[in-house]
Amino acid sequence: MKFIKNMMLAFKYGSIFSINRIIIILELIIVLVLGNIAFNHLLIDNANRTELRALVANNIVIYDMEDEEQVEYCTKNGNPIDYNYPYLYFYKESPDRPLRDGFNTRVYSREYLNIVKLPLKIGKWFDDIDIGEYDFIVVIPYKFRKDLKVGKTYKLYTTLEDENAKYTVYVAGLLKPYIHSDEIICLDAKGIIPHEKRYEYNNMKYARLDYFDTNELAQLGIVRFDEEYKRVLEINKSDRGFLVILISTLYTIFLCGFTGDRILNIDTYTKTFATMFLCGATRRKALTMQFLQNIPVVLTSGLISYFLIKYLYRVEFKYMFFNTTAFFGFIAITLAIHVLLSFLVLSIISKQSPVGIISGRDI
Amino acid sequence: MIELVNINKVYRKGNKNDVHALKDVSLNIEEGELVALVGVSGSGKSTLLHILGCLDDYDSGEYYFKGRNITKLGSKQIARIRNEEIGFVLQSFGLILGNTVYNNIALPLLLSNKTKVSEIELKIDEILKKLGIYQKKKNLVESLSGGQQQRVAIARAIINNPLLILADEPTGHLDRSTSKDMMDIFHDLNKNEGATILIATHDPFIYEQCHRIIRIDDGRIQ
Ligand SMILES: Nc1ncnc2c1ncn2[C@@H]1O[C@H](COP(=O)(O)OP(=O)(O)O)[C@@H](O)[C@H]1O
Ligand SMILES: [Mg+2]
Repeated sequence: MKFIKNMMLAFKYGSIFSINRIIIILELIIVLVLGNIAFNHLLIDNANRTELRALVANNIVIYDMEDEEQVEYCTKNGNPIDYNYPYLYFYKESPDRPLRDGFNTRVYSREYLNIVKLPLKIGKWFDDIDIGEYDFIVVIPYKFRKDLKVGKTYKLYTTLEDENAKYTVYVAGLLKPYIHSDEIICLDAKGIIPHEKRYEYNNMKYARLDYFDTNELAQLGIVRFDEEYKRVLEINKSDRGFLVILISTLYTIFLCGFTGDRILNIDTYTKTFATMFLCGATRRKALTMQFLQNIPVVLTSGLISYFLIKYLYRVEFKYMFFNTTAFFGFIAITLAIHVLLSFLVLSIISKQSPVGIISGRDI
Repeated sequence: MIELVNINKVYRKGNKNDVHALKDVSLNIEEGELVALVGVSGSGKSTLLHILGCLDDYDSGEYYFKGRNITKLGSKQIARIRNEEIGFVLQSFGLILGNTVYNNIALPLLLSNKTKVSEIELKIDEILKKLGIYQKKKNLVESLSGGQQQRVAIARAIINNPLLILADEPTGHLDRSTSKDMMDIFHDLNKNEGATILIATHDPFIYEQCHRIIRIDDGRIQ
């Protein structure tokens, strides 16, 4: 409480003029956004997404279910695709409930699931599970996390022929929230689905777009139908080095501007420090205030740049993925620089005596 | 109320070019006095005021403020005295630029925690009206004239109703008529609020209006 009160007090009387403060916030935002993008570029090659690399190795084409042309293309080329994959509903209660009460489920072959390993928030992927007595093994999308619990076994009804039969369904894992799937991913462990329906699902050449974060696909070089992605893949190969250099340079320039601002404003910092001392703060408190006033500045710019970066990744830089770890790691680095800078400024101020500043001697 | 006993202050102690700014200064100031501290530039007026205002330390001697020995107090207690019992007015005003008049005056109140938030505005309004700058309440301090800025500085100095007001050449940057207004304010505070006031100056116009004159020359009280 006291800390927050002091911080707000410091911010109110911060020696940075409000216009300067806005400039600093803007600079910090630019530093964070540019830096993050540069940082991410550098990290791309190290992206350790083995499960998606497997797709590349198998030349799997990602297609968009919404795009009829793509679906048609996939079907025409002799590969019955998951458009026709067995599709069923699981019900907790009774089978004659309306459809919306069921869990939308799509069944895949074991071979397919061995290759298309999707990132899980918790739990295990299919290849790690001992089938045991389970009829079906499922991985659920994030939106079902409250209805079905990972690691539990359920007795569920289905839309299969015998509507009164209950099947043992084991929930093996929970997909990461960013995988926007409406469907449960299911392995028919016991071969319960009739043979005539099963012929389709051994396709290994096509995977649905919904299961992947589009940015991840692109940076991993997975083939996609979109023309746009072909272009993006090109960018990834040739222009990446250039982009990294460009962005890093801009980042450095803005970081220097930001640093310079601090040093140039040291005069106002010291004056505020002295005035607070004069008005009855201890020397220590007056010094701390000069440091605390930066925290709201950093928080504001951090927050704004977070949303800006997310937006940019969604709209402008589809070929890159937003890596939360990289983002926060990066924020930490910039903050460290900021804190170091603040300490530098503080050490300069603390060498002066408030009286000297007040009488205009030490400036 | 104030008692100084053999105070010595040396700047750049141990250096070859050290300055013995105060030499065995002893002095007494009673409650309710309006005193002028007079001396030429460089005689040690500011140094003495800084010590009286608990802004600076001294090399030897004792300082009693209302019977309390300042030498023996910790920095938190001293800061509290600065905040609640002493008001300091500077020649260069010492306001925080980029802030409004209101914010500048509120600072000592916010630092002290003593006044309720709801009372802060009332208190400030009252003082602003008294000093005739109420209509400037929301203005940035740098947009004010010198005389108005000095009024803001005085308002900030007296907002916590201090016992002692120290003014270091408060009219040094002001013209004659503004200086006169300033002195009227000090007279009023002294007479009606019972504030003890010490003004450092070398301006006869100012010190002739005070009840007592303390002369200082080359760090020594005459
Ligand atoms: N911070 C300081 N460092 C060194 N010398 C100082 C400092 N402050 C004041 N002095 C010296 O102390 C003497 C008294 O200064 P001061 O108290 O400012 O006088 P006044 O206010 O009467 O003009 C002067 O000789 C001045 O040069
Ligand atoms: Mg002086």
